Amino acid sequence: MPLIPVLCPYCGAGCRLGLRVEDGRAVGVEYLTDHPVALGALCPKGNVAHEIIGHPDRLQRPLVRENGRFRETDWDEALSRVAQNLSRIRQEHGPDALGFLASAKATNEENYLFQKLARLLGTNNVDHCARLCHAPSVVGLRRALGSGAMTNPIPDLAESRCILIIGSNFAENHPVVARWVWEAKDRRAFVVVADPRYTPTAHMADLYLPLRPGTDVALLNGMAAAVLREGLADYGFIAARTEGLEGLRAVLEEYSLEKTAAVTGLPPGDILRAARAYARSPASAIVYCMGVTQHTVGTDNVLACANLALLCGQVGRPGAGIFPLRGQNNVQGASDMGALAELLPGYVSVANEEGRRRLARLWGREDLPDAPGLSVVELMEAALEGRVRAMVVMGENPVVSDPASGETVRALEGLEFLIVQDLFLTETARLAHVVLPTACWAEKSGSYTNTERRVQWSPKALEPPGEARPDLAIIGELGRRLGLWERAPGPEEVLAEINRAVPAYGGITPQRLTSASEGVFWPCPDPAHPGTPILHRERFNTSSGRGRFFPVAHRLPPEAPDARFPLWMTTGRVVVHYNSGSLSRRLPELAAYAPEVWVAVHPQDAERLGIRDGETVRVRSLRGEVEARVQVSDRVQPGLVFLPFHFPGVNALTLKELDREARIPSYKVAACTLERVAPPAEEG
Amino acid sequence: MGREILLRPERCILCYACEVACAREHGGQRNVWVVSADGGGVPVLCRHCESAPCIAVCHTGALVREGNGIWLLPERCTGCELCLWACPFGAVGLDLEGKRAYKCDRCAHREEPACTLTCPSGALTYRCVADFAAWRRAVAGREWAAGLERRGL
Repeated sequence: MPLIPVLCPYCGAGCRLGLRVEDGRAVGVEYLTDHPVALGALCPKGNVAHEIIGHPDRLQRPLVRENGRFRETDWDEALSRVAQNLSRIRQEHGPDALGFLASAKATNEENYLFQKLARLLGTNNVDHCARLCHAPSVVGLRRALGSGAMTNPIPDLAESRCILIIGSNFAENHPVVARWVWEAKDRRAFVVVADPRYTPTAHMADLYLPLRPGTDVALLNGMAAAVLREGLADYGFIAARTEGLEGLRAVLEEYSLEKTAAVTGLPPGDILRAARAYARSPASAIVYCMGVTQHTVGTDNVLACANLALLCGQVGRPGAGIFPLRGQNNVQGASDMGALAELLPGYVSVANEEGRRRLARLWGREDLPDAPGLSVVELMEAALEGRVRAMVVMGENPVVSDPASGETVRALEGLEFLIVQDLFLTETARLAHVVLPTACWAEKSGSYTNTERRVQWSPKALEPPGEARPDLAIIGELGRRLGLWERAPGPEEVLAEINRAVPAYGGITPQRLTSASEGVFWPCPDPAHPGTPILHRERFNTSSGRGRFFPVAHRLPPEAPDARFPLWMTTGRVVVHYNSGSLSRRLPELAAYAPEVWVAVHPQDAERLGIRDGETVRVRSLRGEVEARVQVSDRVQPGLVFLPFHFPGVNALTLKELDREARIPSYKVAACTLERVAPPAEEG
Repeated sequence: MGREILLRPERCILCYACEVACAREHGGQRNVWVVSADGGGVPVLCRHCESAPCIAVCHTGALVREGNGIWLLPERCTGCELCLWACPFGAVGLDLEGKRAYKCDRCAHREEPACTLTCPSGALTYRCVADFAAWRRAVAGREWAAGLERRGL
């Protein structure tokens, strides 16, 4: 029985699993112990990844919606409708009336071809869910260090002597990272975890900092200020490798321990302890994730992390680096491939004339659209206002994952034409005019880039069900019908073009990648280059070659508890589910652990509100409401409630306010209230 | 010396991968239970005790000791549940449909237990006791040396 070594479709850790295929069916998974990050391990989701493949809900035929109902059709009719409608709307209203949502789950080749299609049609309205997760890393970390990507590989954490984990719950969301942090702990590393919730990750901490929601800049500034006051800054590193310290010093002056403690709600002694440990250790790491990025001050938060790391010289060496943990299996790749409204492949700004024209020439054109396009949330706003009239959604489920998702539903319902490509009839697909059935990750080959910048190839293991096709084939055929190219290219062919379009991928050729069992770390500019596991070893990728300090100040979130909505609300994830739940909620092996949405409430709040564990309450914000079962838990702070967003409706409550630079919405803080729901009437 | 499933429970991150893997390997019935305690977790599974209470109470010889483990022979099991009562760890389950007890068999049908291979944090390990103890000693030794160093010794 063959064992095909495919990548795991879930998170950005990029684990590999051996898929057992029997008679063209996926029947089980095996553990591949030579994978450098996972060492064969799989989280619960990976353990039943095979169950998605043959799931009875898999879409097998194209669907068109007529008179409010879906009917099956063939590819010719489906694609013909898509091409005709996109052409017509483009003709009548201009290319910017089109919107394209790429997929952080699709391959590099698919994302590259998708954004190429959008741009050749004349619009930069192509974006994807990186906007909702690590856009502040793309913007902020790129500004400070020259690159928005994770600086060191995951196993490198074992070399750290102090690990500051802020706004990351990797124990649930990137479980294999836990092993490497434990290896560091076994060598006496000091682990600090900053999170308003006491998560399984917080349980690993030697020092736990339960900061108030939305006070990350204050904490990081407070730590940096303490480092300066105690004379613990790495002045040698600062002199040789950075610029802008004086500006930072000026802003940090007001961040005394007392002020920082007052803002964050943390004991001043703990802030000092964290600062000393981080600065003094011979190699320190900062691990951050959504708790840092998903704020209106997400970019500021990221810059504050970078400031601290540069101040202490903790970047560019084994064990010393900044680790933004990318969530999706290919969100790094989708971003690298330019599926972003303001960035072309390789992070070339659309406003960069030279870079833009170089790409245009590669594509056989003089030039490409130069105005930044609409990002994910802006696309929905434009759809609501009728400025965007058609959208192609590839492997994303914005109805569940967008902030203020009630508006997303109205926006999509109002579109003249909506196309959705997906494995299942998701909440978003139900609103489409045409639904195209896609092959899943195991049914196509292609490259994916994990959170470490490690590019890996995943081979095709079996045929897709029914008439489902890989996204690459769909985009390829669509582009052909739209007159953009002569024929649909295969994955190796597209990768070869990526080698020419994206310098960091220059040497990651199909031949090399398909035989590289541990993948290749970009940047890898040419085939002879070994790849780059650790960034910034000698120079930063900024124009000056130096890391840059960008002072930031604590700013209040756009919404805070008040008389009407007296509680902080935050959202997050749990280990058995994955994002919008379109995969995990379909698998009873996983869903049984968390079959329905709940709201975690601190015992003090529960008592004050007179609500009991297990009771159903209505959680309500200015934007929407959802019913959830109460879980009385001391893992949240008093005054803060938590909801997992894997269930439809939770995001109806979240804030659409955007970080002004990265355009990421503020998922992590909002104000809400809990209302008791009348018990159901007794059955007669 | 034979390998056993040995735990470093402080590493448990409550991810339930072991439960899901075990269930998959055993037709939907898992032999390991992750118990949540004080923010951390402990996977509880059969310890294959040297002097086993479950064997002592079994009246049909369905539980036997062989090599370094205890094996349950379903065809001899009457589902009386005495082993379930006797196990001090609660590591024996009862299949209500088939009316048979079940417990960890160290994945006898595989080369290595699925739980130890899948554990993302390295809490569940498949080692012989000597290796495992040596591991622990190495970590402890570093701790003590650092402590002694701090005291100037």
